[in-house]
Amino acid sequence: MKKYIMITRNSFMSSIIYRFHFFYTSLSNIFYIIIIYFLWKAIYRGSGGSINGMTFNQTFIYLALALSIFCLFKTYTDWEMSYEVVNGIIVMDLIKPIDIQLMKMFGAIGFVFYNFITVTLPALFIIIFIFQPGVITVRSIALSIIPMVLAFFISFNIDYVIGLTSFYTESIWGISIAKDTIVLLLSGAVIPINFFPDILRKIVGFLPFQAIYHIPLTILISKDMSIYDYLKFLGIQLSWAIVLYAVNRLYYSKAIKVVTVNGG
Amino acid sequence: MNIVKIENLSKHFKILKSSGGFIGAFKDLFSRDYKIIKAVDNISFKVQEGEIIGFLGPNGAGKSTTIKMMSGVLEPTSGSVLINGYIPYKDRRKYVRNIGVVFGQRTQLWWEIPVIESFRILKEIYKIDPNIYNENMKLFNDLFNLKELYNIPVRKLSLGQRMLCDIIASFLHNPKIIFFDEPTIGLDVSVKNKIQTLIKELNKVKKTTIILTSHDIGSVEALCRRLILIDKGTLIYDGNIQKFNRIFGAYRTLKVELERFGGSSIEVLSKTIGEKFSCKHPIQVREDDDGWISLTINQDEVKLQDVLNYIMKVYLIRDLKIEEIETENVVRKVYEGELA
Repeated sequence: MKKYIMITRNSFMSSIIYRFHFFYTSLSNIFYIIIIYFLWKAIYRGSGGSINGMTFNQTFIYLALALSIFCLFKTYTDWEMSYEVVNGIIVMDLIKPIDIQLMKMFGAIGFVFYNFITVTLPALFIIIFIFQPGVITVRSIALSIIPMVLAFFISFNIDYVIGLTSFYTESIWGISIAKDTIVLLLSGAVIPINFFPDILRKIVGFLPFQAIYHIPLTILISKDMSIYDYLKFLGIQLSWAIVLYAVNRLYYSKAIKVVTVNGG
Repeated sequence: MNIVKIENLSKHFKILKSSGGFIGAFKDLFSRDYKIIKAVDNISFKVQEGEIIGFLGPNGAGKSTTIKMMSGVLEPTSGSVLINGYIPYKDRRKYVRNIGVVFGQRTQLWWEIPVIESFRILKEIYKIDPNIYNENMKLFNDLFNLKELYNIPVRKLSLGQRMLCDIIASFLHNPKIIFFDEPTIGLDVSVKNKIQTLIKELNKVKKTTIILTSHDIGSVEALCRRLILIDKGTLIYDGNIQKFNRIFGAYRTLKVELERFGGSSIEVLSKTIGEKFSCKHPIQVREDDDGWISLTINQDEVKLQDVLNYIMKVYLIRDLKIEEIETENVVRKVYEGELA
């Protein structure tokens, strides 16, 4: 276990080295939040307070937080794996007595810590103290911790399945872009799921993406979540986590047989 | 005791035939026209514990593919590999615990962080006992004194410094066997020597079995007592390096650039030299792509000086150099039966 913690530590240390990247990511996310604020302010102007059962405050906070989580979970695992396969660097992982999936995951966790400091923390600060939405309570923050961890796990496994695909296809540029778009849209990170037409909402209910954003965010911004709803949400997340993990194990055992190690 | 046992090992790759050109690139998107490349073809050999053996072969001979199969990264198409009691690709994670691999083109160190941090993480990955770790670190310091490199991030090291650190890192967990794939590629002579001493010393102290590949005869000669020569995936020589040296050590390649050679043909030169200096292993004359003419001469039979004198008499020499025999020429000579 200690080796995986060391990997997390090293990946955090590696990412924090590039100072300009640090400041730039902080700033760009804050600008984005400001854009969301004015865009949805304009949309709500003619609406009389509430659209699809959500007030402006709820919608804004939902989207600003969704973006922050998106940046928080953006660890580029799929890009990194594809890069390693294309350039043959993957061989350096294969010659170590280490589990690739766990290694990638703990590396991604280090990245998440970095993202938390650069993106999520400043964003939270701005959302809570400047826009003062007043829907986030200590209780809702506490309740959303476990769903956040599960959401990361699901998000990572979706990245990883794309990353493993590069064992077959080497380059995954197109697949990866498509995945980012699909995840953003169907998870309710760009438009809240409550705004979706009924049929789409039903379809999305059967997909894992909503478990990344919609579930933890709903928990975070609802004032009076019943314990029944909470457990139901956790159940959905947990099932997806287990299913995706198992699929990846199986996929890896197939993919590792075909991986070509380029160069050298 | 044999630590490596390889029998009838083959690795075939299926690759897409490229049509070439701009239109061809589009055609390739839909093409299912594959061809089979035999990267490694029916190789067998054994290695004793503590041996240093050199894999020599020109670029693309299948050296790296063999190393990749031996280190458990690639699954062989056919044949068997048994190293240290394991079938590498089957028990990969257990097997790699007791091996080290260094690829000259890549690094196993973490790019952004100081060298010593990479050592620490390797310590955890291989579950190295703290005593063994400290003992090894001390040994490295006593032997090579690389301490001043430890706090520099790997990306800021020069290629040679990085290679030294990479080699040390591969010895850190006391592996039974280490594979070096082109460890001296792209390095200048002084660093090359340093790396050779490093490998030699550590082999002596730790009794680690070492398998090393190279396309350059010099570095194999400097380290190994036994040599395996491969070309186009097949094994063409496996044996003592002294015998090899006795035969090829006498060879030199004389390279000359001639003034106004354009008019006369290489065949004429080849024929006249062949007649003038007749011997058991005739002098090979070849025109290189860059216009230089190289003559491969066996010094036991013909004096290089005589050949040079003759050429100087007939032609005007603009420039000349004398080199050791190239691996490609060795391979050609082995095919011609010179080692048999």
